[in-house]
Amino acid sequence: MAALTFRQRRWRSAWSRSSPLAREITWVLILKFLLLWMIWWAFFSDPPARHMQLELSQVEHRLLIPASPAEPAHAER
Amino acid sequence: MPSADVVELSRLQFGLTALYHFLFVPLTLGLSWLLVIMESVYVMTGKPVYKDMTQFWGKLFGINFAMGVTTGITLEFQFGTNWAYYSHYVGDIFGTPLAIEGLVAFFLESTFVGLFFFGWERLSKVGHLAVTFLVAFGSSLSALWILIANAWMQNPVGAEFNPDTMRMELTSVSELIFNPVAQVKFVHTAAAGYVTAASFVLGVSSWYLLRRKNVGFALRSFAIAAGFGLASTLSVIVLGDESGYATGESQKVKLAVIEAEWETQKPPASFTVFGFPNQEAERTDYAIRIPYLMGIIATRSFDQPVMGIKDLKADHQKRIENGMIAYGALQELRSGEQSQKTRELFENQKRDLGYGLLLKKFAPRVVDATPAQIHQAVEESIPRVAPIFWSFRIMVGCGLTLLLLFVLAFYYCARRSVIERVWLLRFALWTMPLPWIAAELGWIVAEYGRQPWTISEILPTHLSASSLDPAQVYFSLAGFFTFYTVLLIIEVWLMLKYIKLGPASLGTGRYHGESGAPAKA
Repeated sequence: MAALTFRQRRWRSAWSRSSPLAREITWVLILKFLLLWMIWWAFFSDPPARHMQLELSQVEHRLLIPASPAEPAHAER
Repeated sequence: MPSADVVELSRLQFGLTALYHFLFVPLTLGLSWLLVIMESVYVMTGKPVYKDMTQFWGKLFGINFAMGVTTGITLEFQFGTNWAYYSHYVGDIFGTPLAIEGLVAFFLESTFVGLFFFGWERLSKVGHLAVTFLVAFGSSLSALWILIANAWMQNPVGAEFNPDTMRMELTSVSELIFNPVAQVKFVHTAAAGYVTAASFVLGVSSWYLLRRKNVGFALRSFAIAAGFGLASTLSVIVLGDESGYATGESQKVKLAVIEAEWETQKPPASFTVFGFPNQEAERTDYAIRIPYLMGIIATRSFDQPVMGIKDLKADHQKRIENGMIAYGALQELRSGEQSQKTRELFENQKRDLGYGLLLKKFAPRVVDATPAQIHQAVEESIPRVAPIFWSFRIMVGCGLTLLLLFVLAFYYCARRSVIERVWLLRFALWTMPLPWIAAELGWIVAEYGRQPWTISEILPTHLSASSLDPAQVYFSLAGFFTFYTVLLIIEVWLMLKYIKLGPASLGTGRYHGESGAPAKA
């Protein structure tokens, strides 16, 4: 294994001197950001409304175009 | 239109993530101010025990802050993905307070939280107190911006619908910021956070006192929590009353549903303390009422009525019929028929466009809706009464129990006999979950009571959701459920670990379990 550089040794010593709570919280935060990123990547990375905006035609279609017979209103279900 | 399943699943997902997020928020909001009080006493008296208190409760604050930070960001993920039409419709207004909140949270709050923990040896006493104050101020400021955004959903002021962009557009920033609902919501929510933190400190201190551990430390913490908690609980109750008045002014349906007020009573209306709302028969069975109270709370008068659900439905029917006209005019404007007459017709009726949109769920062609379809939309315009009626009463019950706790805690603190009152210490310990239960139920009242709208009287929920595959929402819901449950387990585990260690975890050598510490430290 390659010898540690001065900076790495200093970082490792600071880490071992830090309080147990600081170490635990750091691990939790790393885990949390990882899980959050995974959720974002799996389900939310390609939202229909980027920057809170849709194509005008999409909005018009949703709000103003009458429901087609293939897409019955709830009352007819 | 998205299927009803997708709408319901998206609502469930948003509701669950918001409720999970709010498990962390109130403790951060309140504990930060308790730290300011404890550290102020330390700066004024120079007694090391107050520094220890600030550092120990600061540790628990740090755990909660670390667990809670960014849990709210998942709500913002959902806006663009699950609520695309909502996002488009109101993004011009809603985006501003959310962006400011993000900046405040990341740059002010997080920076000063870092300084709070790492600045003890590097800053002067007063300098560090200023940092602690800024942590508390930053937390409250974050909450303010979020609640401004939320209040706008309940009472959409300072904005108008633009038929050319098909969005709501901001017309007055000051109206948005000084929305009366935002004002009462902020103070009520912040005060509820203070109660949560006071109950937390009181409960944990009671646990130490019951075990005769860290007695001096616990008694001082208990005393500060008792005073702060009593003031905060009284504030929550007074500000909750103010919230009732604001609701009576701007959210008549929510008020009628909270009260299960089916008929408009002769003023001043009575307050239903207890009963069983029967939505089908439109009456409250076995109701116990206090005369005049509701009228006074909701209208601050003896001669103004509080509208009942039946009258509100009649009003909604008229507004739905006006909404059909607005909807027809909007269709014509969008199809290129831009005559002055059509524009005027739309401008005159656009206040009720949202009510016309309610019909989209029931009528394939809104402008040709039948009386039966209009009737369905009218029925839809009132949320289910029982969940809101009960949530509100349990919330109030929790609040009154906490008031009793803090009155007793304050009284026995003043008489310096807390430690002998084992029953009081047990009461404080076992009532620790109540502020969280009350806060969650408060959100259920506020948000479920807004249905069937995402933006009150402007945009119905069923038109706000994206057209997604239900499987996608099931998977993301499962992902969130796992994520938040893991976080909650870690939070509880870390909290319990450091509570059990107590102030001995500071390593000062002054507390129970440390070598050299006095036996009853």
